[in-house]
Amino acid sequence: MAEGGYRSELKPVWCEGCGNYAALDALAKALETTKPRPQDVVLVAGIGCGSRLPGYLKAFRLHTVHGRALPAAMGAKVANPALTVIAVGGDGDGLAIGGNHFLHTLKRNPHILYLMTDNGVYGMTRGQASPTAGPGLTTKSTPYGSIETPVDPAALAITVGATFVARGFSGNPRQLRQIVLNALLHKGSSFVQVLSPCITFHNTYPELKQNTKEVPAEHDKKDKLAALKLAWSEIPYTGVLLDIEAPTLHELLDSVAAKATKAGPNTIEGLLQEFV
Amino acid sequence: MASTDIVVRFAGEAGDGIMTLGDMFVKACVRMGMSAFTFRSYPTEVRGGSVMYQARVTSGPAMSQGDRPDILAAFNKKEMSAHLPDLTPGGSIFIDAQVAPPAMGGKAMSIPLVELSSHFGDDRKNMVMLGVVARYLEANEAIVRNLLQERYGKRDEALRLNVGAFESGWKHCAEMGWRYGQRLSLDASAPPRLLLSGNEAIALGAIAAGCKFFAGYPITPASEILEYLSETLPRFGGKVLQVEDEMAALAAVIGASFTGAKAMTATSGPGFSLMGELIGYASMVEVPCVIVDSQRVGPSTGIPTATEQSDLLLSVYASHGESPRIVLAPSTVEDCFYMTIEAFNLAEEYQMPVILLSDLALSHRMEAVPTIEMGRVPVRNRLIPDETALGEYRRVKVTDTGVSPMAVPGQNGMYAAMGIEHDERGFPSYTPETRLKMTEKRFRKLAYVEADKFVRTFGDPDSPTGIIGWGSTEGAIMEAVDRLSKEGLPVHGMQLKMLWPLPVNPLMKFLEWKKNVFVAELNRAGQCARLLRSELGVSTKAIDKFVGLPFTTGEIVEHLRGVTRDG
Repeated sequence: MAEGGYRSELKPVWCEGCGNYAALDALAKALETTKPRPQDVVLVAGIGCGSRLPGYLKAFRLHTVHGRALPAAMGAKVANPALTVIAVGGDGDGLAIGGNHFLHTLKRNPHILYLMTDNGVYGMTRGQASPTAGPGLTTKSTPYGSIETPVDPAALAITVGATFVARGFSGNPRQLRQIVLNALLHKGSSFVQVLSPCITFHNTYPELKQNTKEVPAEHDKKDKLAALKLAWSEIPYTGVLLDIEAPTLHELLDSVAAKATKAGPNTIEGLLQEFV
Repeated sequence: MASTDIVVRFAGEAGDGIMTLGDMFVKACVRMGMSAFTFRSYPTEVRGGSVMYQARVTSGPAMSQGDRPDILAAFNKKEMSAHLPDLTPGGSIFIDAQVAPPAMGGKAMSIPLVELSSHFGDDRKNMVMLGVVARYLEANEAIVRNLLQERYGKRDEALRLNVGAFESGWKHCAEMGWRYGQRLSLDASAPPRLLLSGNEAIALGAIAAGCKFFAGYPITPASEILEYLSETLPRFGGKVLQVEDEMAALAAVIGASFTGAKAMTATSGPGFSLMGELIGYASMVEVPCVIVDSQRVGPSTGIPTATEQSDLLLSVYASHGESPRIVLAPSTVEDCFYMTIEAFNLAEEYQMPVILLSDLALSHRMEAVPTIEMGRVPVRNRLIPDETALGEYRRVKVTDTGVSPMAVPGQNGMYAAMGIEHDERGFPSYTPETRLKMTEKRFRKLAYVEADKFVRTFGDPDSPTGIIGWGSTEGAIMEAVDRLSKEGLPVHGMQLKMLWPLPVNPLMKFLEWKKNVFVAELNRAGQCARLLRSELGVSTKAIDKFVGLPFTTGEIVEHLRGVTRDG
């Protein structure tokens, strides 16, 4: 365990009251509970306010370009499965410019945690509408109201094949900590959508505080359709929606390696001989 | 014994089995101890469209595909008409008996392909043609039969049918008494050689270099690298992922390399264009990676199945801002193997992206390669910090060479790899002092790259006429220089194998007092010539070609001949 916890000496650049603080706190607490050696942790991010999060934790940190956190995280995990790999970022980074990777990374089920802080806007570029912006949302880039259908990140994650999907809310830090801890403990791809209001450009705290409800205790987390129903409900349910077991990408690659080894030579000399 | 040098061109429709036919023929020749050099062209569509396979087989070295086919084996009228103008005067034509043979242009021989192959199931006209051509050139029958056994021996019925079709062609040719005159040479004492394509050599080179991670997205003409590594790399403890796009490929490669694994991706122009931003990122955070760009005709979709050398300037400059990288260009299939190891070595040593520029002609070219010497290019690794002496670890510490030890996750020395400008510890810093210091640190590494050893010179060093080439064109240029020298017209040649940084010293020496220097390249802009002008301030004359085909030796000879005479 890291001396003085997992927080680094850097002070967050986020606005006071930003939802990202609760996400950072929940992740730091989850690490304190699971206690990986900090040097065994790789935090990966793209670009955006949420993508600044790795800087505030003690770990190896890969701050990639906008939208590419997930493939970079997958590459790191596949190359060294002993590492704890965590990707973080906002909804713009993960669903707009990186949307293709959201689909394809989660469907491969690498054993990584992906924490998405979702605020419906591009905070870093000062508040334009993002993929989760609700219809009619007025921002600088949608002065007459957004005309698009918003993406539901949790519902999308369930349909593309994540094996752990949860939704938390920065205004409910106690539940968020539990969710992130469970996500970190899950074997396979775990996706956590954190409803994380942008206090400066799109403050949704009041309505979320009023509207969010915790996932009912009787919800069957093994039931994909039930999970999808909750994720897609008008009510923003928070809690663990889906938690199922499936072979991880690494396990599958190991089985590929076993087949490949039986199929032909495993020395360069042997391979070259096949071309004589 | 007179030297053998025969160019055979097989032409048909996609689906005729032209590739199998060509590969079997070439393999038989290489087993007989000959050299080979192939060039293929094929339609972008999987079915229909023209397929051409040109094989040059020689008793000495084979360095180009040959200017003209001596023997044309055509499967239909359209292909016969299309290729007839290329035929060597007096050359031989094999044509399906259903087609009226050409009235002129060579010695035409009709083969009842349909009738002969009808006894051996569908679609074995190619094996009949193999029998005809092999007999015509007096190939060693046992060697061809062994090849058929190896290829089809696992399935009795397939073996019977293919051998039957081959025999019927062989017998037909013998009965007709056809004989080319010049025969394939058999050198039983020749050491066995490997018949490899450029892409196979690149993939094997990656394995030999210790590559442990590969991610790629299918694209012509680079897909074979993904396919071969998918099959074999897992046997060497490596992981291969076919990912959703080329950005994911390079991002995954960077992620893997960050954890200490040697990593590579391979693509062609369209995918390489998409990687631009991540190339700058890898350079900025000093993470080693190897990117193969097998060039094809661009821009946009261009001609996916035709060759061009038009990504040179993109390779040198790809990404916004300014970022150091190394650009290598192998010239031969053998180069593809050794220079892929070099690409990994340089990436690891200098902690930056290394771009290996192949092109369609080289990636798909088959050549007979002498047995690979595993120690010829020793494998080198990245500098990692001494854990016991980490102290306050500064990941990108400014050093004399610009290279700083790179910590590996799982060990001590945690740091952040940030695309944001950063100080020596990796923390964001935007001051003019940091910006200057760190930019210079990153670029300083290029000064230590031994670019000067990445050239090959040939021809007459005293000639006032020079020719410079890069990448896949080397063989045709060398043959042209050789041919002109035999005409009493000496030319000095230089092939650049590293394009960035440029091998400045040998280049300056080469250019010193030349009257005329040509740069031969397969693009319109004269990209290498532009690079030489911008970096060295020298003007050169262009030998450009951008119609999707490689140079022939004859084309280069024609360009040079007038000048050397006058010169």
